[in-house]
Amino acid sequence: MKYRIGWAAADITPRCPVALLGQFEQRVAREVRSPLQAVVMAIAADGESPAYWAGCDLLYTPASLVHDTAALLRGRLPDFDESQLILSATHVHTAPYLNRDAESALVRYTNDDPSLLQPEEYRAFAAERIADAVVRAYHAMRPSTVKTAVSPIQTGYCRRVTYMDGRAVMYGDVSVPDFKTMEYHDGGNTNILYTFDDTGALTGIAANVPCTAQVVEHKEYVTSDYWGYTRAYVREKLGDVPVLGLTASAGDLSPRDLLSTMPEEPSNTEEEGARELGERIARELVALVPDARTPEGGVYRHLYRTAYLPRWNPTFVEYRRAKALIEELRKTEGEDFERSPFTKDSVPKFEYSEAEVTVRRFEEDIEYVPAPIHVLRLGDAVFVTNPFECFIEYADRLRAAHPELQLFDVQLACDTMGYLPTRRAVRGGGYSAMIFNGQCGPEGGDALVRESLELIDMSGRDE
Amino acid sequence: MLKIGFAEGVITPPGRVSLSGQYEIRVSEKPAEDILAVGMAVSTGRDNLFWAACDLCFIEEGLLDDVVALLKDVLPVSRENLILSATHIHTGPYLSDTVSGLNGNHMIPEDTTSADDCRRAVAEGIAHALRNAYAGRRACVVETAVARVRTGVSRRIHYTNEKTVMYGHVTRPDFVRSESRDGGPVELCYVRERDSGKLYGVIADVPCPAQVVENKYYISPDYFGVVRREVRAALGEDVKVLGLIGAAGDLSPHVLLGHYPGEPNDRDEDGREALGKRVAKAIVEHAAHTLTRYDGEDYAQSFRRVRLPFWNSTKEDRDAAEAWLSELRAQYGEDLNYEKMVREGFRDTFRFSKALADVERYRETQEYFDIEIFAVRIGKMAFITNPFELYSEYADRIRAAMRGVQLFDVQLACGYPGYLATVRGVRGEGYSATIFSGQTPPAGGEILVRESIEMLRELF
Repeated sequence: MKYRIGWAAADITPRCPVALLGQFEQRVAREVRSPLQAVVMAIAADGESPAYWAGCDLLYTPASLVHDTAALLRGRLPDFDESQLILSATHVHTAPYLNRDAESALVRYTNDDPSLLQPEEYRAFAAERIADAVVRAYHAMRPSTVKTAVSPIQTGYCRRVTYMDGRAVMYGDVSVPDFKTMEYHDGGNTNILYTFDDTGALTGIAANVPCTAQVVEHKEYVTSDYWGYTRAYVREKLGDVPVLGLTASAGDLSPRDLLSTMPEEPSNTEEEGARELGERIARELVALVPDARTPEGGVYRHLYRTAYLPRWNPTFVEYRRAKALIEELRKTEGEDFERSPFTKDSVPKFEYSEAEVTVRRFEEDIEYVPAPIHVLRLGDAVFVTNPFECFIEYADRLRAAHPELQLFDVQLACDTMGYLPTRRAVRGGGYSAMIFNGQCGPEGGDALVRESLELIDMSGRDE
Repeated sequence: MLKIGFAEGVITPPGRVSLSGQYEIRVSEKPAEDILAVGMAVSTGRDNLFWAACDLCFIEEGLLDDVVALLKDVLPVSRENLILSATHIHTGPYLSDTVSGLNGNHMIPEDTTSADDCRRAVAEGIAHALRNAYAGRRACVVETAVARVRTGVSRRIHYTNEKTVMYGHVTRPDFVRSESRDGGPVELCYVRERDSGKLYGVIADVPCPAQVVENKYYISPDYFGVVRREVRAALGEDVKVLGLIGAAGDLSPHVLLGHYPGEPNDRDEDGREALGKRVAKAIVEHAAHTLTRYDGEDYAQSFRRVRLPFWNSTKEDRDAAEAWLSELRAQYGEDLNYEKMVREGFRDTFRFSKALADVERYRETQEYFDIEIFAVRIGKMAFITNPFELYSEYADRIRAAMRGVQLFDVQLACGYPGYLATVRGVRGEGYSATIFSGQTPPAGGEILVRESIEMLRELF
């Protein structure tokens, strides 16, 4: 199958100082350790409209960033439609805020220092840089071929720990006597796409890694986490070959092996750990080029759908309980404590957040929420996106239904709808499986799987 | 001073051999690759330890006595310092004459090498390896590494009806998830000559049983044959690999989730090659990048016999089984000949096996049985053995309790009481998590974890 493919990269590093998004506390970065990038691949079969995929070193890529970028592209690209644009995030926790407001106070921008780069300012900057890169990628499109490979290295590890009483805790302590087991399995294979120009030269790599880029998630500097090391290693070995970093479903995973980490291994919370992981991935990207295979089947298709998923709404009993908790806090913390609820340690973060979102959701009374899904089929290599921090069980179900495909599942694409936990996870509770953590619960997960499978099936049908 | 020696012994029995590991009779049709015992002898001046990692499905208790009998006059060996562990190949011989299959067939046909002869050949091969390992002991240092590569994957598939099936189809619309985690990293230990630094032995603990080609009709060491070949080629002809299997009762090399076009067939020779090369690559790559180095000054070992509850059936289960078997007798005849029943359309193998076990285990008056556990410490590295096909959750718990210790957990060592399933496993049922699959229920797993942690903590 002949494609037209072009690559470009944008530097989306913010100016400092800037507040960093990704932790509960407000962190301000005053230095840049490694630049943030948006790596863009423009791809189309002959005669088809291109898909533009930008993998961004951000915590997430909200719909507002997609809209802003699309607005800048209209008129600059022929017949451009927003449905051609995919923005996905590597989930670094060391990049700026893109929005001021958020449903949960835990991730709301509350810093009132005007000297900091403001969220709107950064979003406009990022959108402009990404749009420029998309245009450059479009103009760089050349006759190309693609190949794929699979690496069995371990990258992401289950981060939800379960205990004898049925409880689950993200990053829970495994060394306590009532530790039971990890909630589910670790990340699977890393799927790799290589693109070549008509001379056979390697022009770009897309790497779908089931591991979020959050090794140094607590640091107070700007960094692209492990992807910076991956790109540097690839550049050193293969020349100026861009690497599009795509994070596979990993809502319940992280770069930290909670069970088997040796003290002598590079620390998985420090730069040395980011380097080790980044270079481990890069070595595979380099080593597997000769063994890559050409996808079979002549179908190229890019499909987009806005799927309406059932929102995770509270019951009336939960609403009343939440209201009561907030009333109680108003009495003890003062009537206006909600303007900045976590300035006092006496306000319990998760309980308050759960109550705040429960009240809001109940009163909003919205039953379905829109979730963007893209499917990009290159023969039997198929990319499918979701806008969540998606628990890996859902990706397993997609993969299970299509053993004949090489499935690149990409989370955190084109919006940010929070975690998407499983039934087992919600039963165990804990951060990432509570109502304030995401727009959808397990019913939404089931619906996402259904909608994604339908789109994958449609992409394989003859027109 | 820590001295360690390694040596190999061929344990391939002569002639045509009935192969252990499946429910049907398989006879080796062709001589393929030799199966081996890789022996390791450890001495400190105070302690001796003999460990043979064997290309076998499991270790029959009688084999331990056979090996001790062959060696006791020439080596300081006893049941309390001898570990035999199995790589869990399904392409090796039966070592016992008493095996009968579900179908009523005796699994060792008349025209194949007898189980006694197989066991003799295996015991002699192991003894040969251990004798030479002992003679070849060298003052050494050991180094360790952790290879973060996938090997074993969960083989128990869970459905919306809350039932679990080993190797269940994931393409069923009611598929929910796999039951457990996949295998963790490969734990590696490199043994080098103390003075020269020359590498001469590798211990690899892989959470993946060697059963890629488990359905084949030939003798094969499965993927460990490839590992040994590749390591020899890369690191030196005299470098031996002691292949150990981490807890993997619920794991296998057969990928159920995450298939992709063009992948090697994980039930055939190309899959065996691919997995063997993957493990060998990990061994070779990490040889130059080890994390720790120990001189063995704090070496310690311990041995314990642990009493576990026998998995007896309840009266209700027995009564229900008897009632159902009576119905079957009325339909298929008093002798319940499984082969004949199958010819007549009977398909409920799982329930039939469980019913037979429910009757037998109720009649059984035994309430407890003993297993043997070994614990060994070198520096911040430790080995802990168990005789089961152990669900990985139990090893996770032991590992979690020993933070900061690099744990080589080794299943299928010194006996074979079957699978040891978890509470979740038993709730989902399915082969490997029911009364006929193992001798102890999850309560036995709790004891195993407690005792293993206690033994390890005593060594530190």
